[in-house]
Amino acid sequence: MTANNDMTGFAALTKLLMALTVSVASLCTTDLYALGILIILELICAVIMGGGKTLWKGIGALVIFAVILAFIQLIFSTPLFLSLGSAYKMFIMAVSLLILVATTPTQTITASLVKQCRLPYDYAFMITAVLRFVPDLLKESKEVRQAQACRGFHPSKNPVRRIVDYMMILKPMVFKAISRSENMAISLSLRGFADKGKRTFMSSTKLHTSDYTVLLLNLCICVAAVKYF
Amino acid sequence: MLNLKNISFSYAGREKIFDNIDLQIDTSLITAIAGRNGTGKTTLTRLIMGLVKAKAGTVELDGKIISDMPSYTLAKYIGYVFQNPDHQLFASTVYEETAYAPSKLGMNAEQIKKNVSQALADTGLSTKQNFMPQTLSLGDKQRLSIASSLAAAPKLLILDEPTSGQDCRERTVLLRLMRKLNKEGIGIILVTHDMDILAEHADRVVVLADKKIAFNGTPRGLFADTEKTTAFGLELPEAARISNEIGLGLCLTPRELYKKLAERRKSNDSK
Repeated sequence: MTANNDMTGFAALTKLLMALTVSVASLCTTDLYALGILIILELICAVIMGGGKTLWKGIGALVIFAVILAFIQLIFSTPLFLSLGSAYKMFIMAVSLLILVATTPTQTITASLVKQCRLPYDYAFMITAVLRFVPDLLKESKEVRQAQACRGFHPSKNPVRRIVDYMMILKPMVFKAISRSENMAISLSLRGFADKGKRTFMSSTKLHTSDYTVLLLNLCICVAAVKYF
Repeated sequence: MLNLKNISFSYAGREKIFDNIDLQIDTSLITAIAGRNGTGKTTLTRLIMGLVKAKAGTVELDGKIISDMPSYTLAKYIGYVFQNPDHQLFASTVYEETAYAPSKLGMNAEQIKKNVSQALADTGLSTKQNFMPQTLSLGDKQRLSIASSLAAAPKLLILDEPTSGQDCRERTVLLRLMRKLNKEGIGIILVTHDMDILAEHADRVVVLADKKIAFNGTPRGLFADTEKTTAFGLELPEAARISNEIGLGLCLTPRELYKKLAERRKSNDSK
């Protein structure tokens, strides 16, 4: 563990602020060069902050999604630069969040949201609980698909029937999600979740010189990209 | 006969789980698969069912290669019951849930009705056919999973830890059902950690260890060698432990132990 108690040595707040500045910067410009610089900035951050295979797999999936998004807009006669612009923006915002989630333990994100962003604990916990369960849900959906395949389930090639077929996957997942959330709520209550007294966080959220330096650099690059392109 | 030939398997980026294994399973018997956690018991059954694909080797069922068939086609021949029945329950009634597989496999309406009624009767769920699956007890859900596989009329049924989390009564009901199905001609592959179940109900045992088939034989053959059993990370069944301790030889089940105790008492009385 590093001093900041996460995988990269940077505080969760640093990554949160970086995600915010990059996202806001992407919304303030329509220039493809500026958006390109922001993407390069994010990819450099992804390299520096690690995150491993999961992060790069996620980025890969987002690239595909961005291409599809641009393509769909082109089909509906949206000009090329606008189609690319919105795909770039989606990519920038999604990757900034992905870097945060893939390189920071969820409890550190909660601690940062409560201690530094002054968000009520219940809301901060809700956000991190959702993030925490995404990989579980993906794993579960695979298991449900396999269980149904063992009974002859094979999604139809017809897109409409395919949607109906997928109800077989969705229904067990929804039932399980409801039961899981109920169990989780009980388990949390039994461990003092609703207690409004002082809460101790084990994760360190303190910002260090490296955090300030990275934040300043990030801000300068974002401002420059928006202002000079 | 189920035949696994030269099977090697590893999950992406991980160490090998099976290294060139050969295994023959008689599909008319109850075959238990045992071994420590992480030795690949569930993976082996998933390989048979086509849910994961082997890096090398083939799986044959009655001489027909099935390792290149998708799971949804294999459902005609092999039923797979997951450890967690909640993974598959989606229909509004027990009847609909049971009818899913045969209708998906293209059986005609008459056949579906017949198979569903038979499967529900076999599993003791006929009286609950209008119940919502999610409201059933864990034992009933597990039997419903079995019923929904049986309705497709498979030759072989794979049960992955079917008794986990069940109370004593539900466990007994399920094990009796397993025996009954086997008598009716359905082969059973049972993944289990429970040595008492294995000793009492399995005809054959396959033990996995060190990426290989470490043992393939009868439960008696396995538990006769206590040292070997312990080396595989398995415990002796309770009856075998007691019978060994009191010098009665190897008894696999409480019934066998009781019988031997009665015989000993009789011979002591006659002396």
